[in-house]
Amino acid sequence: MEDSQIIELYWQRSENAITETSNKYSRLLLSIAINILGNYSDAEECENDTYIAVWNTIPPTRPNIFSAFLSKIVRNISINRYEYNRAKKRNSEYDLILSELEECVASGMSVEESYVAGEVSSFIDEFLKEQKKETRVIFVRRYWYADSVKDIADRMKISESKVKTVLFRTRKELQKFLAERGVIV
Amino acid sequence: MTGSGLFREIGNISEEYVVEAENYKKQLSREIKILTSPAFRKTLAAAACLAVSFGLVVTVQRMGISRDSASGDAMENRATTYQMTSSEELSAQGMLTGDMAAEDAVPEAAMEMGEGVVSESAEEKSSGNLEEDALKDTGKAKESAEEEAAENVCEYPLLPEGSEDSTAMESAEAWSSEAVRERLSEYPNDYEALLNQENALIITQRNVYAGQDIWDDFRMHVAERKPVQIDIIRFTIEGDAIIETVYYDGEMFRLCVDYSRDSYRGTGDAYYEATYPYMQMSEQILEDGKKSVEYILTNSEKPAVEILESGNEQERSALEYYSIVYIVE
Repeated sequence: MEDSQIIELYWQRSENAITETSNKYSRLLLSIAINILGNYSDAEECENDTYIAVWNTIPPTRPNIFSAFLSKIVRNISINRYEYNRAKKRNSEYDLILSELEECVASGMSVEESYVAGEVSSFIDEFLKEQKKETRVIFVRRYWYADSVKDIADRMKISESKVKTVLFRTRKELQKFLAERGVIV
Repeated sequence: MTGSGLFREIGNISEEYVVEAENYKKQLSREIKILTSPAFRKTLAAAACLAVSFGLVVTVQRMGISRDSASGDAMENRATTYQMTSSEELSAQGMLTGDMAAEDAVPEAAMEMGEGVVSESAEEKSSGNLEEDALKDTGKAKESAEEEAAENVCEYPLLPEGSEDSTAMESAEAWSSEAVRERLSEYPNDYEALLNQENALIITQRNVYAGQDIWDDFRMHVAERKPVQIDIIRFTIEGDAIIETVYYDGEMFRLCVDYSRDSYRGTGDAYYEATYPYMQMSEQILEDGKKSVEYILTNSEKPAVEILESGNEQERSALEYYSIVYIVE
């Protein structure tokens, strides 16, 4: 079923909306949730929470790209769930991703949180626009989809060492980019 | 801001980049499938059948051999070069009579190729070239293979600047050693600078570091017998670069290797040049379970791997080959 037709089911408040969404996007949503949470049961709960969130959001929202809309919701829900569970469970892969991103914001000096929420993402957009497509895809797969290095290498038919090198260089460039814009000190 | 905060902020980037990353894999998978699909090879055979039925001589180069090292037995040899000269020979080979599967595969493969080749550099390709040739009327089908090759000759990339003699570049014999060596010498010596080269296939530690799309494009051109050229940068264990350039004119492969940056080459010549009629691909499962993939240029129609392992000294001494790509997956 086309995305526009599924969205129309939400507007009609048809219960089939969630069924059709699940049929088409369950695998995508689960993969994102599992990448962050590291276990299937928590990921499944987040997937179900996503359907509820979408039901409550559409209408009035009418998303442009339905897959990205769903992915963003499950990503945020999964992050919240991870932080809720953090005392009890740890996902080594997601922890690794967070520690990598710490490098971007760690400067050795005291960090002042003077940025405006939402402004940083527009800076990152600006940064990504300047990158080569392959670099951008690797970065987004790692830090948006939370894929493992191995999964990225398999997906893109390149070596894991190359993925790590690209990520390392891109994080350094992002750090410099954000520092120039006063996001980090 | 913490790493967790940055991770959340990244979640709000433009949907365009999210979708781009989601779709990237699908494009690559379809290209590779087309290059190696049985339907593609059947299409090649079907197109060749139709061309030969009008008394044409067609030579097709194919590649592919797998070897199961665990059993020690070579699997069926798929590295084949064949020459069809008459309808009778084709009938004897069963290629003209009753092979309805090949004919039926043509429109299916045409759709697959038409949909599948979606890379940025391939958008201009006529993905149904072979199918169009197969389905066109007899007037077009009578065009000779040499005329086709001439029409498809790409601008020779190795001419010294200012040279306007593009007609001389229609065959491998017009290779200019001096121009090639001069161009390869213009690559930097610095390791980091070489890694950043954008127009070459770069291999480090037996892995593709960059330029996978360039390599895919090269193999696609070879499979379609279209002229193409590629530069390959490899590194020795010591980190010295060996730079290869391969030019395929639709019939022959011309190779030039620049060893000038290899500090361990001893007193050998800094350059190696050779011409080969065939390119073969060999896969092998290594002892640690990993798979190696090797592409070699060779003068042998028979798989080079078989010759090397056969113990036949006469064949081995006559064999010429050069490994241009060796990667371990």
